[in-house]
Amino acid sequence: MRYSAKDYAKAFMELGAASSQIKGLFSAMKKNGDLGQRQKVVKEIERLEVKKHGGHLVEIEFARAQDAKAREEIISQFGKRDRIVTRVKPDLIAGARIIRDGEYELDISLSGKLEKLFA
Amino acid sequence: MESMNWIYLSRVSWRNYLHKIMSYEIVEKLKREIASFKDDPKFRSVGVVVETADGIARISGLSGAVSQELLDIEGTPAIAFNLEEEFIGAVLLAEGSKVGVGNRVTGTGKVLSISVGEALVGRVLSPLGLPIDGKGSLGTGLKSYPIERSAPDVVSRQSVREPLHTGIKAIDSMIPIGRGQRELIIGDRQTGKTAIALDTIINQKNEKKPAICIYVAVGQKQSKVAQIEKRLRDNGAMDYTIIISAPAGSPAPLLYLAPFAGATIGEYFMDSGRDALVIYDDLSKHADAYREMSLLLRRSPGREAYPGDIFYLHSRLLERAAKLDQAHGGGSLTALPIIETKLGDVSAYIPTNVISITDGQIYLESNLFYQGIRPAVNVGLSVSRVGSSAQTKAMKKVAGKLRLELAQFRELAAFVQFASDLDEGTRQKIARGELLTEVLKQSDGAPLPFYHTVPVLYAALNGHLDSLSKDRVRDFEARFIEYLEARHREDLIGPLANSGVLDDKLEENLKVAISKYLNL
Repeated sequence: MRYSAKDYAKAFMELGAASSQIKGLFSAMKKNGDLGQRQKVVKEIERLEVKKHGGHLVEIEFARAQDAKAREEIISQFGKRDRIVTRVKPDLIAGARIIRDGEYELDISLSGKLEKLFA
Repeated sequence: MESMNWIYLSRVSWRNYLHKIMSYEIVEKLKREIASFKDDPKFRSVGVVVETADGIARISGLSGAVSQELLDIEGTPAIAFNLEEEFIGAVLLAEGSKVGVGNRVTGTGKVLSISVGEALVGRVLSPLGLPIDGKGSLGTGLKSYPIERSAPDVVSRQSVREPLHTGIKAIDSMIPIGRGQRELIIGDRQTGKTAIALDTIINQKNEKKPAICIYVAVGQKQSKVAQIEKRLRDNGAMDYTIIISAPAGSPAPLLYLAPFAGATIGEYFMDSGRDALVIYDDLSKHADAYREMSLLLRRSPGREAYPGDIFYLHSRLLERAAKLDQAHGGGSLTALPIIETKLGDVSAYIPTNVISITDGQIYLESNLFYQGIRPAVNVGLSVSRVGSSAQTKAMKKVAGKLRLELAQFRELAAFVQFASDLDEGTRQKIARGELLTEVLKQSDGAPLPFYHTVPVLYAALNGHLDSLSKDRVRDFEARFIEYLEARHREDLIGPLANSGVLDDKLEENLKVAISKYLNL
């Protein structure tokens, strides 16, 4: 690993984050043997892009799949500049977990409560 | 008979009834616990494990973490070691860790702490302070002390002034150790380093104020630790000893933590106004563990591939040894670090570091060991920088010229083979040197209290044993001590043990005792 995902993402953003540069980004990563971290790079670019527009990257993990209406309702609670990503995580048993910018977490799941209860 | 059956049955029902009540009680307690549980969910800082191997984890996020903070990786404790621009390098504190990539990490806002208290005495603990001797939990009433703690400051200290007897004649007489001192035990493998440390522990039972002993085994074989524990127990020393074991199979972070855990436990006793002795066996392996951790954390290697802060690692550990002043309880923490040298090379990196940190060293030599001089202390290279002011007055009075006579003997030792061609004065010096060397020999596991050492050394240094052949010295010592205990307990041994002073009256009594014994 010559450069970290953050380095690639930062360089990509500094160059204007144009779609024409995507090919160049991946060829640079291939040349450096860093293609293994492409997922991380994409996530990092996503985070920087959201930040650039003054929003937050919000990941919501639900214990069960939500219907479209409920999902829309939850998403509407956040700002328009925020990017919302949802996924299903049955390990949570019930409830949900919200992660903001990959660094801050609000755990309102049953598994989290049980963990705290028996901690 | 029927009535007996009734009683029996009713007893059974009574027991069942009680059992039911008790089970209901537990259920009720659980219900109460759950009902009173209040969760106040709020955003908290988290990180994610992005890489893990060999007891090390790299964590992304958790930007608010501080150095040495205790982290929680889904139930596995870890310490934040490297705070880099994008990642945190953390060391995992669990064996066979279940940590994997993607695990969530939360900060605890605390530094690593262990439980300390009276209940630790007599137990064998892991570096995290958990009992590993199969004797159950440590119970309640324990205090929590941080593993990393700054050393007592200058104002709260006083100079080393009370002796800590090792029970080893050569050390107590020529390289005295004081309470609060840091005295290094250094030597090659199999030269008796651990034996000196264990004798010191065993000898504490002969002391008026025995120190609480903490033996820290770093990277030792489990079997060796078991033997040590048995030996201490057989000698009744586990009544005042705590063993901390980070065996060779433990991950490097636990080996790194063990001496700090020992110092922390010692500090608890020091803070409570008592004397504690901590033995780090050994700091060479501790340095190796730290090097392993540092290289895995990608810190730059320096001399002998040790990281740049290896000196600081040992200095901050050994600085915690102190003699507190009366305003701070007057307790003390004495440290006996052990360093293993390779082929007697004391100029290697770690030995020179620890020599410069400590207040003196006891240097053990393989050659002396194989010549049968045990303990194999090289008196010429060994030194105690602060201990002389703490030496018992009686010992100081008697052993004052011992070092000089032995030094003169060493100068003339080369001529021993030509003894018949030498002048009378030189011959006498050589004979005296040989006699003193013989007197200073001591079996492993047989420490002598100072009130036995003083009369023996007095007899040897004042020429009372000059006519004795070398092979009879040990026999003389054993019988002479037996004689003094039987006949002169009241007028010599007792007062000497109580006061630690060999005044004119006691000296006269000692002279009389020696002449009486020799004329028996």
